[in-house]
Amino acid sequence: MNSSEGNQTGWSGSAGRHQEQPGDLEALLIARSRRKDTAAFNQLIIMHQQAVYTLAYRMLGDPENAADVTQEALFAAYRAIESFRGGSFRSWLLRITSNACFDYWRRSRRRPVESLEALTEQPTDHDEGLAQQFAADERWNPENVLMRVELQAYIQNGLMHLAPEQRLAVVLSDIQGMSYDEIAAMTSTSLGTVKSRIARGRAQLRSYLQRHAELLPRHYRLREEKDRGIE
Amino acid sequence: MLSEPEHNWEQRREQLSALLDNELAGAERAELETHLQSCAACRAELESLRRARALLRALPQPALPRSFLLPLEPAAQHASGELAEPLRVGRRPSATPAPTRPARPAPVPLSDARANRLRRSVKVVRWLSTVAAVLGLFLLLGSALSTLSSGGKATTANAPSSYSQNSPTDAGGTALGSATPPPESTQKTTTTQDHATPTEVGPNPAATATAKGSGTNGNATPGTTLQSRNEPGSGGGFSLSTPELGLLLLVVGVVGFVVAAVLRRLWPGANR
Repeated sequence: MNSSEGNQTGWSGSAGRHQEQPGDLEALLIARSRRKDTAAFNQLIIMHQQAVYTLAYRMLGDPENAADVTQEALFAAYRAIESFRGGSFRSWLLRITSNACFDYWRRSRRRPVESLEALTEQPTDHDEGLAQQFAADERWNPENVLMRVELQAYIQNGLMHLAPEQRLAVVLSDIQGMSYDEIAAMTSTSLGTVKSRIARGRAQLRSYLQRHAELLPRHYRLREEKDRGIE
Repeated sequence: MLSEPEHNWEQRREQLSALLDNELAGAERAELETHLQSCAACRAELESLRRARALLRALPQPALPRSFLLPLEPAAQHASGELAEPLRVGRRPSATPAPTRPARPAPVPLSDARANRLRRSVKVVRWLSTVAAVLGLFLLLGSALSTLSSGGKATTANAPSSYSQNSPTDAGGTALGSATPPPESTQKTTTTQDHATPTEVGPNPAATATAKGSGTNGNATPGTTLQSRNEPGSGGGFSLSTPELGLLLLVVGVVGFVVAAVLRRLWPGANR
């Protein structure tokens, strides 16, 4: 995990940007799926089910509902395969998945966010102190971060506090590794909107992590992390 | 410096965030980079966004709770009902659709039309073999009973020869030998020969019909046609007796069953 060099590219972790390689095999499988070849479509599912489930999981924050929504999205994709008009099949699937997430919230009348402040996409006041704390806090130094289960749950919690559109943009960018162009096309919005949603989402997440750090178990508190960092 | 009025933080943050992703155009980017050198607040903002992004990127992929493969039913047949059902299943976490046939490596998929035709011919073969086998058993038992009741002693001159003439043509004959008492049936041949000849004209077409029925599926053809050709070939001095005919029908029936089973194993799609 290298962090310091080059603030243009920023931190480059294990989850590198996903490269879109449609490939002949995928095109063939799509063509066969159009003729309602379920076995061919199942091959496509094998190729993409992890991405679909990951998106559903990060959006909904709960494995069971994510599994249901994933299954639903894949069935919907199979039924609507004729409407796929080239381009990235993965993006197309993820679009259906995000729609399925919004459908789920509508259906279950559950709120897609856990905080009222995040319900709107209103810009939050800039809190310089917070940003500086977060930037200086050793806990959040990517070089020190150990992705333990508790920390994963904490970050997921932070995601759940974002407005759903922000969450979607951030997840597509930082977890699915999509470019701004792809995200704009997928969510039928402008590049500017994507840019602002990602920026706000990241800022909001950062604020949440810094503000609610007491939710983390003790061994994540500053002192120990600092010690480990110095070691 | 930190709270300069021209610092539109909303816009600034967007720029910094886009800078992280290499999504900032040349001029804007150059300007921002020079600004960063002199502005600590923006550097802190950039670093904090970078960390937030790094944490998200470091999240491992959640483990798949199950496989999401669709069931392999031919969807064309009952499109509406079939697609509606798994959807319902999908919503209930308890009733997970089991991935279909994980054990068998996916067989060569058949098109629906071909699968239908195959299914039908397998059914016909099985049906005809059943008829043949039942008829054969009936004839065998009937002749056995009649010999028992008449209790006739046999002159075994030509009976064994006709029996051995027939049996080597089919491998199934040896297996059947244990099921039906062979010495008795050979004895009967001579005693019932006179009565048998007219009756066997009746069942004979059935035998050739089964041969044709199973013949459409390749495997059974050589054996059965050989048998049916035997009759006219030896017709000059020798005609088939009732127990032999029964045996032959039984063999045809068994072969038919085997063919049907083989077909089903080769194309499981034809099963349903």
